[in-house]
Amino acid sequence: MEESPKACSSFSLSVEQAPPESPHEALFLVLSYLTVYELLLISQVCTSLRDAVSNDVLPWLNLVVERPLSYRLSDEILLKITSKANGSLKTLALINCVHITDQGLQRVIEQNHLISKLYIPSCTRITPEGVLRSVEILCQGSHSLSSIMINGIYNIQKEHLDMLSFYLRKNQSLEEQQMKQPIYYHERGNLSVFEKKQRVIDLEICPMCFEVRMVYDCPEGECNKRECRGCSFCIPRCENCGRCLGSQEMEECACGDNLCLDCWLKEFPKCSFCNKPYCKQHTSWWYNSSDPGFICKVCEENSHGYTYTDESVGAAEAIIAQHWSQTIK
Amino acid sequence: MAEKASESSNSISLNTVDGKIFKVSPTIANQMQTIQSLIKAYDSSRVISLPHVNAFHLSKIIEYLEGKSATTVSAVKEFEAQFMKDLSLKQLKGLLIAVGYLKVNELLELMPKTVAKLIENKSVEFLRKFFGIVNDFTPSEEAKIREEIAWAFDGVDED
Repeated sequence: MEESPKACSSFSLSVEQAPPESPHEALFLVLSYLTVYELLLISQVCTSLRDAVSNDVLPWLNLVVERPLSYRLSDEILLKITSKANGSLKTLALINCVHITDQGLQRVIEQNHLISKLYIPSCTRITPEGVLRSVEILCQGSHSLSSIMINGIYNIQKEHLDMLSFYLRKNQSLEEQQMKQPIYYHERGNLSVFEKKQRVIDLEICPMCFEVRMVYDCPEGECNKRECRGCSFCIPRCENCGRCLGSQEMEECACGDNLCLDCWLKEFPKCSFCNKPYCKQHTSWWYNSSDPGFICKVCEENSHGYTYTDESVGAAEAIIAQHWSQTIK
Repeated sequence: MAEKASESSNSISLNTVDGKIFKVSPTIANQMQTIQSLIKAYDSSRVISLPHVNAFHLSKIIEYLEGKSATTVSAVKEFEAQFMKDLSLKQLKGLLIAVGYLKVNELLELMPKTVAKLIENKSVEFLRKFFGIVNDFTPSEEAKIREEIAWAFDGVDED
């Protein structure tokens, strides 16, 4: 396990024979796993990487557009970058691309019939009808579509969901397939596009309120109740571990999210004024000061720029004590 | 660690380029697609030689596959994070080649993700330095490529 870098290089294979200035062979292996932003970035590094990115089909088969690119992606650019896959696009993942329209999506779909994963969560300009049309196109003929994500598209009704599951259903019933792939509340943010097993449709009908929503499962072993599936409106869940929360064990974070008592106790640091931690999603929200004490953004704003120190708190206490002693007199 | 797996009698022997022989259980070996196809071709008693993989890389791969199979989901995540943390950039590159050759699908997914994390939010200049690559663009070529992908990098504010 422990090995000096020097020994490692002498072991290394034919790769090391190349002059050190040209990119390592491993980098080319990585290309097909990168998002569009990273591909564009790496294409600026040197000529061989540029050629690999712009001439190869492979890096473009799984197209992933995330922040910070998602707000800049227009229909025209999408068409341009998808055309690099030569019509054999496998994954189209547009995460929160707010400028993509139904027409833009459809044009891409019409040229790429082999898409197996269509992820368009929170692409808010796309309508349920647009999704239906695209899925219908993909499900004609060869039918390689295996999984879609449409959470965050407005106005999806039960009828839409029924139509989608009708198109997507292959052999098993949809419910059966869904049950095998639990979705956990605390993992909803880290979408792994390259994961092999995915749900057929991310949305389903919440068994409690019967609305079309994301329905979360309780993590294994955390909850003994059997019927503990529901959307986030019906069942509040811990932001860190995803288990369901009863009203008595709900603990608030400085970001407004809820934690279970166990996670709340474990989560550090806590704000030195309101004694609330941030949940795992929002650890970057700490107010940055040179002060070693942690202060959450809310407390920082309320302090109007004055940082709470022991002295000022002490002074405030002294004033209050004085005030009380006067009123008592 | 490799010895532990060899308890079962039908373990598979792998010979690396630097002459070290590893004995692994079939379940581990089957997770490397290249070896899986070799097992099918040979009978399992034969030593499979891997001319493109050295002992360090193979031991790392076996360590990963064993660590992964043993534990629960959250523990696997932790293990993966620690596993990647322990590797230097140079080891990472070499291991990636070995993983690509042996076709260990899980690592083939995990490692590029790690590399992608490394280059996230970095400048082009940083990447050149980081990977030890010399800029061989002519100024006009560089201007051209800048222009082509200007939509991604210019104009709009960072959100």
